[in-house]
Amino acid sequence: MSAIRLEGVTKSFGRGKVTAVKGVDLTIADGEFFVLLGPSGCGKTTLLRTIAGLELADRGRIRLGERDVTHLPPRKRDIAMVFQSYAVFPHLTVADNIGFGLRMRKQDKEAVAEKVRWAAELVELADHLDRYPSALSGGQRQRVAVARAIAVEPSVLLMDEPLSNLDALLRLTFRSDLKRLAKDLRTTIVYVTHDQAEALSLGDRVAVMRAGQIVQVDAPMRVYDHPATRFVGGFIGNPPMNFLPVRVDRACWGPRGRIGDQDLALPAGVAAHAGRALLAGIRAENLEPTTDPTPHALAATVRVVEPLGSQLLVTVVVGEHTVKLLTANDFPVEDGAPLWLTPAPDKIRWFCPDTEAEVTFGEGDPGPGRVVSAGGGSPACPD
Amino acid sequence: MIILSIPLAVFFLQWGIYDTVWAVALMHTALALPFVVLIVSSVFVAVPVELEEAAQVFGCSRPVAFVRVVVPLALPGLAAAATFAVLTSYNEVFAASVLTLQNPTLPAFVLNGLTMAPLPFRYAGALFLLAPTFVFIFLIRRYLLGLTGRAL
Repeated sequence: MSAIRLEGVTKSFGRGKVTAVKGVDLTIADGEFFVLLGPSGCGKTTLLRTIAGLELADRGRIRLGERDVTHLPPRKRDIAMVFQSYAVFPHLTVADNIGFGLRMRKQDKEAVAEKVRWAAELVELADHLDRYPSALSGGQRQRVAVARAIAVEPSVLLMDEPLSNLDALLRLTFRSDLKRLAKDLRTTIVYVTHDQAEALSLGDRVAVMRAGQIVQVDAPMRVYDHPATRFVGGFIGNPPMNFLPVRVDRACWGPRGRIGDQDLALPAGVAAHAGRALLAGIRAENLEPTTDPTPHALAATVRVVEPLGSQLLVTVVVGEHTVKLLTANDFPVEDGAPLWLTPAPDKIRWFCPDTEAEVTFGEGDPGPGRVVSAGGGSPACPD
Repeated sequence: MIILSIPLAVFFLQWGIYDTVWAVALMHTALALPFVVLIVSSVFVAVPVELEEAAQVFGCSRPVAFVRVVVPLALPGLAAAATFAVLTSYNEVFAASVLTLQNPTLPAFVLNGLTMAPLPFRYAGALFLLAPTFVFIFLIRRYLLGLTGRAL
């Protein structure tokens, strides 16, 4: 159990041709479940492997607790890791797999056996200790990998997309098991995933990465509700956030937002910035659709209706922009029909069209840990 | 090889290892090595890197990870390569005959001893030459290739 501090960690491959991680500064608290989220190729796995010591950082320092481990090999870092491909040793039984780390640490036989039983019970594998991994299912193999990692009681537990090789149903059960396990163990966990559902459901905090840099570090709901950039809003959420360019016009009765030739009701803070171009980010579930003409609503035409079971995913066209919205599964809608959309005004997020960073207007705190400064009340966005 | 045999014999005479086990061993190693390298390299490539990395994370240095994880998993392939090397050597009589006088390999000895013998004796010799190969193959299958069940 220890905190992790990364200071300017940089890692590149191919003699500096590809920079996978660019000067990442990050502090992960003791006992925190920390998720690194990002699209494939954003450097999240490289960052994890650098913490593990499987890659050595080109620049920067890595501290685990009080120790500087930047130049230590993996075995001296007091970490454990769960690999995406499980990496369970096929030539050892389940018990020997779980006890591998302990035996390498030269613990005596009885202590190893006891720890193995304890770890196996935590992941519900106690009945399979004598089997070889080839006799286990994918989910069970992943449990072996998790048990092997927790058996050594590491100060930091690293997980590299541990659920991505499991089928959808198993992933869901394993996810909740993992969350319970993390609560019980109180170990510092760094978890890498490209699956936003995993990130939001598991993490105490989520770091969103893009092109080797961290874009936003926040609590899961904060990342979802207040994406720091357009990229985060578009990456997190299923379907992704809708983005509509809005011009703030001064009309004779006061400022109003214009999307194409339609009006959009503006919250008070935004209305003060007449003449600006902004990008409105609206989540699919924050658009209230009606089939009858509604005042102050955006007129749209339905393109596609996709039933998702509990909800309907409707793709509509507003002016020239495609917008996706979620609605109740009994909502009467069909292809080609007109639809009126009323966005929830306090759920609209504003982004600068040039920098793509979030713009706030003095209402509410932009939140701690924001890496890309969106500026509270004084947006760093050219008018 | 016929062209090579004269200079080889001369070299081995100069080095003082003519008519010893070492001469034949060197020759047969040279014969088997290219194929063994091919087999063994593909066997090691087939062991996933993650397993080696997992071993390193859980307390092994690189050499220890190799011995504790990679070698056990590569064992069936190594056994196959070993079988090939042994049979190559056992099957080879020309170099063995040229490079030895008093200490030939068993097949070379049998071959040289039976060239003038009547046909039934030659057949009998060939039959008995089969026996060691059977024993060897049996042992390999029993103790090394049997491990494939739990490999990868």
